[in-house]
Amino acid sequence: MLLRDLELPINIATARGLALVFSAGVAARLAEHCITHGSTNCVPTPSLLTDGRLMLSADMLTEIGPGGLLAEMWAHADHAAIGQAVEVLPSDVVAAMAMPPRPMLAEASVNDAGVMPWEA
Amino acid sequence: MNRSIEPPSSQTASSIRGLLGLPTPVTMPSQPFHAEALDWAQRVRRNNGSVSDDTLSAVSRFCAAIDASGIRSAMLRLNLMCGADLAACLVPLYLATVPFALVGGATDTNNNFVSADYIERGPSGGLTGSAATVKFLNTGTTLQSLRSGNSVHLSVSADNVSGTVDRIIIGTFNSSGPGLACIDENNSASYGNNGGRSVRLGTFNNGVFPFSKQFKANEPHLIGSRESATVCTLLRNGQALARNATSLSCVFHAIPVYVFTLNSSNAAVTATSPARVRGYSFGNGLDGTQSRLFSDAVVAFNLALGR
Repeated sequence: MLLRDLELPINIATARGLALVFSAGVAARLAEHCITHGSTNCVPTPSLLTDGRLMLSADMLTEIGPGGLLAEMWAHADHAAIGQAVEVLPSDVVAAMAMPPRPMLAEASVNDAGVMPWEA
Repeated sequence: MNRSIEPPSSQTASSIRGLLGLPTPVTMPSQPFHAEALDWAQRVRRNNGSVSDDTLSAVSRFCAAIDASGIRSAMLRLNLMCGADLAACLVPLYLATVPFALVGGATDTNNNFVSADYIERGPSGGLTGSAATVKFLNTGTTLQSLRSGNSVHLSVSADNVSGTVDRIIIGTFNSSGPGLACIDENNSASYGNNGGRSVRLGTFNNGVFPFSKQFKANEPHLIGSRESATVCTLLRNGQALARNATSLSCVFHAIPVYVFTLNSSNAAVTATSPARVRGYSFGNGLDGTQSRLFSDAVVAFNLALGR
């Protein structure tokens, strides 16, 4: 399904079961749009998928309505362009496409001497 | 409640005449709130947030408790994560400043949290993270304003904290051991089979940083504190859980502190904690007494908000 086919507004429970998937080009335009019309109160920060596309949780759509943290960005957005550029997928399907998380710390193991690698 | 300034009882009104004639009682506006609490409320409103009088009262009592504890100057940044909405929650109570300038972000930058992730009061009160979706706060503040790599603290109040998965609740890292500062929930498979809670403030001999295998889902207040070149302590509610020695100073660098994850050299965040965070702080190191007083104030504040 494309975003243009999704009925808005959307409730939080439904939104959390969905993910927005889009290209790196769309992500770049989103970042520029956020600089121009967004605020630090809500910065959409997409995550990379294994196929090179990016995703956001659809719960971000709960902030595009009047008074929402993304209302200003949404008001200035090209809804038609976004509507056909963003795919809406079940979040569990997208979760399977997520890049594996980097270990929190690169030095995640302790060697035989009990010394962390950065201390060797 | 208004106060009146009355003439001393030994004198009668008719015996006192000033330039403007008989004295008149002067009413003074009530000042029930701490100045820093009022400043915070003003900054919340400038951030398009709102705060109730009840919350402002609780924040005011917290400020008074911190002042009375003598630890205000140790706080580089502190956010009680309260207020009526997410915009309010993002406004720290205490900010780092140098003369004529703010250090770090005026508010915490919100990456992917939505309003439904935040509830101010009650058992579910706080900002709830996610393990399924990347959600974190960027404080925009580094530890560089601290004077010494031997005096630093991190603290967090959180619920839904695990001891069996590997996540970091607050931290910063410049890819070098001495530059690591974090509090984490870790599993038994990593970090030398610890599992539970740990604090890492710099590098430790033999990699044995302070950790505890005791873990609780609800952590009213965890503090990790270094006060000297050789002692680092992990405390729960002001009580020491673990203490380890290191002769290696913590290095303060230009990587800002993140909450709900570790800021690892400003790389893209790929995993975040689903903890429900009710507040965080970082600043100079705290001793045992200071830590206990700090935790008492944090716990009392969250109790006032029913969380």
